[in-house]
Amino acid sequence: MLMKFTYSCGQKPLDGYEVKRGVGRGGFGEVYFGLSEGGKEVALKVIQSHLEIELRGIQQCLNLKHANLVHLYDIRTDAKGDRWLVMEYVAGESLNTILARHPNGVAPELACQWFQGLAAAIHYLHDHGIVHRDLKPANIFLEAGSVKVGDYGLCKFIGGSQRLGQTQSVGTVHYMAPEISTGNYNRQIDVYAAGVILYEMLSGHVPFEGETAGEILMKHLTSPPDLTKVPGEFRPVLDTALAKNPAQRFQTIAEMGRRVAAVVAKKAEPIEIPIRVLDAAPSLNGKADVLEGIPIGHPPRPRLLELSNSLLLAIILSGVFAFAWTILTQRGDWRTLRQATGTTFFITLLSSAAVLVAAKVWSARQSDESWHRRITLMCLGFCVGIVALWFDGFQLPWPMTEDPNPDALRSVANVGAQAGRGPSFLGGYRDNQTLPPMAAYLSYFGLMFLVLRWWKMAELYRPARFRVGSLIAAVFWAFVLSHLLLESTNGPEAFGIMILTAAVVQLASPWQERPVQRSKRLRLKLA
Amino acid sequence: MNPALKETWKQEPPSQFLLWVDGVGGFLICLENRVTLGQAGGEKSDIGILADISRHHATIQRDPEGYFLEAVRKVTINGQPVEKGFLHSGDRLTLGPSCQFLFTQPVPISASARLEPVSGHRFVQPVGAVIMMADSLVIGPEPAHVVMEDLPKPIILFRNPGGLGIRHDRPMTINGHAFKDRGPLEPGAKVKTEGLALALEIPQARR
Repeated sequence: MLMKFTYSCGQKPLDGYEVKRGVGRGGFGEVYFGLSEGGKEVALKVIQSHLEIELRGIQQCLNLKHANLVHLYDIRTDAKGDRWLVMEYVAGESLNTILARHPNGVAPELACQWFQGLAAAIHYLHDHGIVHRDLKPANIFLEAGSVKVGDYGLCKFIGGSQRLGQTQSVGTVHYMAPEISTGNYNRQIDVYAAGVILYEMLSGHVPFEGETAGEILMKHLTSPPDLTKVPGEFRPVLDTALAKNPAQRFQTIAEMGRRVAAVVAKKAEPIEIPIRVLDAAPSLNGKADVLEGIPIGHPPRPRLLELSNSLLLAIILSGVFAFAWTILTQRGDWRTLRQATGTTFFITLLSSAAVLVAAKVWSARQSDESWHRRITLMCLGFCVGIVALWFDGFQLPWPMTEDPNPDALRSVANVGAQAGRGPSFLGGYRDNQTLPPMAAYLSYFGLMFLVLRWWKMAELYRPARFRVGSLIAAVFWAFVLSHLLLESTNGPEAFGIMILTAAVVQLASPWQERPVQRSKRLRLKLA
Repeated sequence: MNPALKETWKQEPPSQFLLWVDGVGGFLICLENRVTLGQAGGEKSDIGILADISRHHATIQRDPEGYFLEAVRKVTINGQPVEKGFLHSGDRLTLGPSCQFLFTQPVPISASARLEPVSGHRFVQPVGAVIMMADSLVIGPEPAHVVMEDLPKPIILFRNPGGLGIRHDRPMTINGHAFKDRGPLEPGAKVKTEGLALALEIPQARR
């Protein structure tokens, strides 16, 4: 279809402006690209079929300024008496052209971004008492990524060409709110049209299509829009925006813009969940919960790998530390030291492994209550205590009796016969023997596991790989508890095991600097 | 044959001209084999760009093997810094920190290339793209240098000995004179066919 233009390149129908080429034909008439004498690029629109009342509508808009509006510069009259609207020339494409290239719609994030520009422009117009009345993709331009809305102020005159050269009578009925048929309408028609445009951006189709303008108008009046063509999360917004009854639509375009932004923000932001937890339960240790929440995205496989790496590292570290600790704290011959090292090593490894596994399991969860974790750890502590007791029974006679071949039966018997165990490791109990060894061991390890937040030492995003503070806390509690429960002489091992555990857990757990992250929702809030 | 064809471009064709196509856009057509790119306002460059680049930032040379780029200042092709190298259709050419162009040779049988800003930067001339015209320039449905889907048959601008001509399968008028299927072009020519109207303009030196 040839677009016939009255003026051609080089002509100066309007004093001071030179026409370069025809751009298109709007409802009002031809639009040209031209240059002013100074070289300013402008769009020149001939208002061929004008009425004074329409000109007043444009005049009213001449001094509006908004980043998302195509600026109007002036209204001029040429020698023939034709009125010309001199406007900003937008170098980008119209949304109409872009949608023609994307028959299945554009990405929801992009649609949302463009919609925000559109909503801002409409809000500005509404705020200045102007109803656009002719919103359609052909009037919306995208220049360097930002939206420019044009053809405002052309009140009453609703028309124009539809994509792919449909006749003018069909024109913009695709975007016409049902109440236009009654002639009684207000800015709610812009909300409706914005809803149609959002629908079209998301699906590539207008919600109501038909052969004739009458058929389409009838669908606007009676048919509910088919929302199955748009992504599910947008359906509630479109359902409200495309309501037949204007009173049921969004009351302002700004409200609709916020809802659309929220849809995309929600979709793009899995990290939002812990923030909601924080919102919902501010009385909890909220910061900790958020910190816990960050590694949600970890797929299970790396976690398993990380865990096995940590455990391997824990074996080595426990061995080294246990040996060092024994050398530092024990006296005796080589055999004694070897036995003591062995015991310390196994129990340290066991308790470290208990913490590492538990922490790894918890790292997959967004939030758990602290006391719940502590109780779980305490149970693990009981298990460690039982094993320690068993080990102790095993090892009990060695330092004193120098028996090279203790057998299990005797060891178990020794555990049972703790009362008579004078010079043993457990014999270091206070003289008045308030606690039986089983209770002592269980309560020592159980409480040690209960009082500290061990999982914090194994977190991926802890403040530092090794925090002396955590170690000091462990030293403090181990000191207090071992002295309360176990008393003097048995100290070194039980005391040492928990301290070494605190060191091993921290050193063996993977550690990363916390990435600087802010949720999109917060970013939007701040913007 | 039409006698007018012989005297196509009466004098030596200019090194560049503006092509205005109604309903489509404006283009700067460069006829030289070698063009320089640089910041607006410098006389040194054939293609002036309003961007944070040097007065003479790069040169593009059309050889029988293809388009050869020589960087005077920082240039990257598809993100890779280059000093010299051939351009391939679809390459993204970045001059300086941010000024990016899409280089294409949209029509396989034509050596002509199109340079289109994609970073929002503008040429000094009020056009949307630069076309380095080799032997021919195709206007019409894709593939074309100037895409116009509605046009039933492509319009081809071609080089003549000593000038430019236009070929179209339909009747047309050039400056009001009727031609059957081909005709001569000269600066200021206005061509009208049943499908479109276009005009050639010699750019004035602007400031």
